[in-house]
Amino acid sequence: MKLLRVILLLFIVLSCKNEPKPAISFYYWKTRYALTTQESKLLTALKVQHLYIRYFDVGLSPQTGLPIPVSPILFVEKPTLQITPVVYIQNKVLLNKNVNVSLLAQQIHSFINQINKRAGVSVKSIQLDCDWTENTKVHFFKLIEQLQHFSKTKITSTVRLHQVKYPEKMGVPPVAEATLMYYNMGVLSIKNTNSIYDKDIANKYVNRLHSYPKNLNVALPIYSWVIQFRNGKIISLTSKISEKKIANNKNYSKKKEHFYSVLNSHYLEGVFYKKGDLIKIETISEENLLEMAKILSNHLQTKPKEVVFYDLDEQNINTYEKEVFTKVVHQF
Amino acid sequence: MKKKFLQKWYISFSILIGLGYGLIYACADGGDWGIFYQSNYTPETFVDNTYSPLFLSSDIFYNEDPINNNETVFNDEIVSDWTKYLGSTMPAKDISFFLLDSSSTDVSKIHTYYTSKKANPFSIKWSKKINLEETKTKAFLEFLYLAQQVEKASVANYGSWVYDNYERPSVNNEKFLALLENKYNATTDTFLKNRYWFQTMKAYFYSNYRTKALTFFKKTENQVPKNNLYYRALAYTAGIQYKQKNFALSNYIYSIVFAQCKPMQMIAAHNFHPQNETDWQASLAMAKNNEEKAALWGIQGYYVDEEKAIENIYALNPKSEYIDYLLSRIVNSAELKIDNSFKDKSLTGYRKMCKDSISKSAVALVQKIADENKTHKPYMWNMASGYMQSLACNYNKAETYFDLAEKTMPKTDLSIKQLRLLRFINYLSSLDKIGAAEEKKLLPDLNWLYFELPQKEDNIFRYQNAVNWSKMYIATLFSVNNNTIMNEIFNRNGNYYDDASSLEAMKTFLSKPNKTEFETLATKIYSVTLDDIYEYQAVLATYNNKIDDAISYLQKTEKAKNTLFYGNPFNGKIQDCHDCDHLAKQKRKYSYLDFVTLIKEMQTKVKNNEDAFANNILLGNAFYNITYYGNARIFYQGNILQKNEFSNYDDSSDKRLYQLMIDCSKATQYYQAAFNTATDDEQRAKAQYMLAKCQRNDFYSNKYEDVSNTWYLDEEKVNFIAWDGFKNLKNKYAHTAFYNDVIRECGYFKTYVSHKN
Repeated sequence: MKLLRVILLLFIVLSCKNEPKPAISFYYWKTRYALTTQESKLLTALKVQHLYIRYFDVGLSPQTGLPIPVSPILFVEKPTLQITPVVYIQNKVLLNKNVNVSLLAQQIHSFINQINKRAGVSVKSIQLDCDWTENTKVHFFKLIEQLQHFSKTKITSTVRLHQVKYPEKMGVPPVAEATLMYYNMGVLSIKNTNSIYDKDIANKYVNRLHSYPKNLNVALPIYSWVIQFRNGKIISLTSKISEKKIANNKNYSKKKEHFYSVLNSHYLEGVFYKKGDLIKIETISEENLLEMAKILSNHLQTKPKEVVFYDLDEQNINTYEKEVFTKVVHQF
Repeated sequence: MKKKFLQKWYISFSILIGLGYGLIYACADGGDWGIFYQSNYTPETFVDNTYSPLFLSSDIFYNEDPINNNETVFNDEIVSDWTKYLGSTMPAKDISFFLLDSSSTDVSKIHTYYTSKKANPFSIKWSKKINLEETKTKAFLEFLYLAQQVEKASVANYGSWVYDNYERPSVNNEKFLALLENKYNATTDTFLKNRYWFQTMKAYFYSNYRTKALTFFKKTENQVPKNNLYYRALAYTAGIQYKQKNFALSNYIYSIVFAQCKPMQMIAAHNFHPQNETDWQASLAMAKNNEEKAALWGIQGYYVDEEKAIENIYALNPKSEYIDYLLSRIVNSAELKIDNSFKDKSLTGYRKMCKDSISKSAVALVQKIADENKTHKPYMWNMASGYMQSLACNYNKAETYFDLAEKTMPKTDLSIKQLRLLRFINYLSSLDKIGAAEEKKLLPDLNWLYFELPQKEDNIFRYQNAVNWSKMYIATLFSVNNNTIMNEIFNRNGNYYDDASSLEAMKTFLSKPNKTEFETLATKIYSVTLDDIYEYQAVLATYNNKIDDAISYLQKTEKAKNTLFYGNPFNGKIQDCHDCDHLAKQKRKYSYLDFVTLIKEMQTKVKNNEDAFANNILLGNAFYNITYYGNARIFYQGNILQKNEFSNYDDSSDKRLYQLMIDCSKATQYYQAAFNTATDDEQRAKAQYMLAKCQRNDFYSNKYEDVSNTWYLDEEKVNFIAWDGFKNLKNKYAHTAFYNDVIRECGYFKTYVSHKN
């Protein structure tokens, strides 16, 4: 009996070891698709085969109140790897009781096709991203079904932590798989917290992950931003500025970890920083990423097929050694 | 990898925050309404109105949207120019139609008529109104035909589900560009030539040959008048320089547009965008003279550092008008830093906060410029300096500046009001105590502020902040004197009426004859009346079941006693639904006085054992309905117990109200008495169910009482609790008709009953 147990355990260990690691993927979240050399090199080095590209948002026309595409992407070059278009649906679009979901699905389908045609690409799946609420879940889930119907393409969706924690209330999207957004956990504030990732907040949500009735892929943050405070109030939020750039600039003096005060009024990257302003940098370290992966790995019911990093941008990827991405997926 | 990456910086534009996380915190302060109501200083008093978009605002511009403005800012001028040019050849409304309305089909068809010489329905239609062959008319319509081709490229067409529409068409037809330039060269009429010149610039700007716009501009700029069309074209060159990353040059050009073309000031300020310190210094170095340097500081001051901008402009040209609007921004931002909440309730604390908040360098700068008397509006500087001194607690000094301002300022309605307001604020701020002399001096200004100004429709003059601030300040002065009545009147305190002696003192004050003038004003601004106090006492007496007192208090009111309940306050239904009760047809409406009088009658009947069950049930219903769960919540929503039931109950007065609202003990007492006096099972069943409602309410009130934030509660299922009333109803009265009514109407009970356990 004891022997049987050992064999069984060994079998489990071995089988776990043989299970492939999640694939590395990225979100591309800019309005012009043109990879820089560094971005291309990273994709090649990490053998990335699949990219999620934000195609457009759906918002409401201020004139007519009807759904319209917002800031559609322009392909300056043709992607050479498999892509999944991502469409962000603003929640307000689905709040309208009279929204024609079927028509919206057709419009989204057609618009994606128009972009695909222009870019010369074909796609095998579409991802819908929406911070749906109890009030909009019915419309959002119907939109997924309708888009599936018209596009005959696999539809996936994003899910947020609060949607995973309260599936009874928030519903479960009718998709084969979903991607858990493991970031944007807090609010921007002058406190020592990090709005991108906060372990304490995350811990309040992860306990329900194992019982979520869908297979989950995971999206992890690699972005950072600079928050500018004047008289205690937030006056600007600027992405794509590294902490190093601030730390090495004589116009700033470090107050404490991630906080700097502005010594002299000056311009930096098109933003004016006034003497006396306080600057806070929110960023995600390699340790943060490994910790996130470990926590998720302990709580997810199944191993994710993909870990998608948000977002592919030279400025973001500069912050990390390329090995980090591989190390992170090896946590699963 | 990391090092290698860091060698080259490339900052690309991206959507700031991805995957649906779209927040704009920079503008989250409540818009210009916020600034308007937090300010005592109206920039419009002295600053030229054309600068109003640049006034301090929590938005990008004050009361203006740069995008909408951009599309329409020149409409009036264009129509006016063409109307003058065309004279009597075309009615003004037709000119306006062709220029601003959807005229492209008409213009295109008329063009076809001109080229083919064959009449078409459009040419026929217009021939009846205007002479299409008239030289100027023909020139106008032919010009318009070309201008509308250019416009296709310049006006965005967003919001369509056709992807091609998002690519704005460029004017890439070289023949068309050449045609326009030739038109410019060939036209001799100066009015038309100037407009063809502008259209050529515009077309090059929206073409793939943008740099040709620069060449064309350089070649021709000396031949065109320096009118608004010139500066619009100049702004195109600034845009091209920006696109080519010549930021310093671009910003320098925008500063010229800012200085020379008032309608484009906002656009120029919006586009002025130094990337780093070097750009800014390079722009400054490009300035050819002091005027241009001042313009650069004028535009830069809007963005960033008003003080530094004023210092520099003042040194270059003390008479510059840029410093006017920059001064208004300094004053507005200084007063925004003042915390008017009087949170430590002391004048010393308030003054310390003022002194700590105000920028000493700003006070000194404004004073210096006021003293030197070299600006073109010295009264503006004197008035501002007076106010800044006042904010810095130098009240005597402030008054001397106000005197100086008064001597030389133009006496407009606004300037007179502004000076009066600032003097009033300065005087009140200087007071450490309040007595008869101070009251007398304050009275005229308080009457003006509290009663006269609100009568007038005025959305320019900022006085509302002073209304609230002065009340807080006066209240604090009275608290120094330990005058709790006046303190309460000028700053209502939620707990004032908790204390019986304070309540009586206020009643005495409000009913006092021969009030002083100041006391009369105080009574007028106080939002509580004697009626409200009696109503409050009556309501409390009712909750405490002191019905004789309640009747007596209500009888002293004029209004409250006749206030009607929305629904019948003696009804008790299986389901609580106050909206349904309010909508239900009522044979009789009950006033507050009817309500307590009837309670009294019922209590007497109960005492005399007269129809005891029915009267007990009705009494139970009456006390039930004046709780949060009943149909007569209005009863506790008076002016003193005014906080509505959705507030957070932070202070003790709110907690007291909360306890009153949710307390079903009186109702329980009467329902229990009803049960005890019931004569059959139907009555007993009903009493048990009513008791169960109270037990249910208590359960939920207690369960969530200590929860500070319901959002953090874990998701939970419905609590199918077996209240004693439910148990009794199920076990003892299942045979009654009332039981079946409950099964039919109350799903909760039905679920409980069907539960196997």
